[in-house]
Amino acid sequence: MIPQSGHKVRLLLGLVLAVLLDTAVQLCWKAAEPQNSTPVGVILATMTSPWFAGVVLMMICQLFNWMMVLSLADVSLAQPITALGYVTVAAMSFWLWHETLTTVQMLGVGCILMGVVLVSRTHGSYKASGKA
Amino acid sequence: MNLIGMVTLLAAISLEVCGQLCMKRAMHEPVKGIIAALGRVYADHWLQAGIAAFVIEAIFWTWTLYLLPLNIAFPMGSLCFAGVAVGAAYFLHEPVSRVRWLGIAMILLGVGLLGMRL
Repeated sequence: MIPQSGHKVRLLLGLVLAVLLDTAVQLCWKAAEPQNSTPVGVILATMTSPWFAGVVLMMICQLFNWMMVLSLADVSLAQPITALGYVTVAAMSFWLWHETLTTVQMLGVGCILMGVVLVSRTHGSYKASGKA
Repeated sequence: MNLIGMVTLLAAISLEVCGQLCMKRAMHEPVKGIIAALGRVYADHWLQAGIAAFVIEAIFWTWTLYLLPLNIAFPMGSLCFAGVAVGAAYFLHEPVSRVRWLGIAMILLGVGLLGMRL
């Protein structure tokens, strides 16, 4: 399904928002984590943190945004684009918390990106099985 | 520190895969409207199981992010794509093309490269 030209802008905005929300959810979830705690304490501290309220709020926004995106494009087109979140999360956690980002890691993320694109090609599988 | 983190990560990924498969099992026919969807949540045990899996997953993901750097844990979450594809082929008899198996192999390779950092 190729989106009509009038929908293209909405689709593009929706996909950008999806990647941003995906990234922000993970960053806020990580920010909600306590420093040193017991296993139960980690859960309690995280889920009562204001950061985690942001996580829940953004997940709800993402649900409706994703419904909008899927109404405009096939999931096989939309899903691989969200894999860009692996790049933004890696960049942001390197920048915010100075987490390691080695060449091997970047190579790994590159492989995952390509893998997600290939896995999300639903049309291929339906044609291969002769179902469509 | 990282062995327990890997265990909680794998638990979270397994729960995500189970949740997705349960949800797909429940939603094989289209639902019209939010009211109909809520009605199905009340009636369908597969759907309830899927939602329960996602809630428990949140607990394991919280432990995972406590134990592992986000830079490692988040990309490794892509194992879900591989798990869902394999599970959908095995349990739901969805077709999995050669291109998709190649994609799964690429994801596994990428996760393997990330794992070298642990």
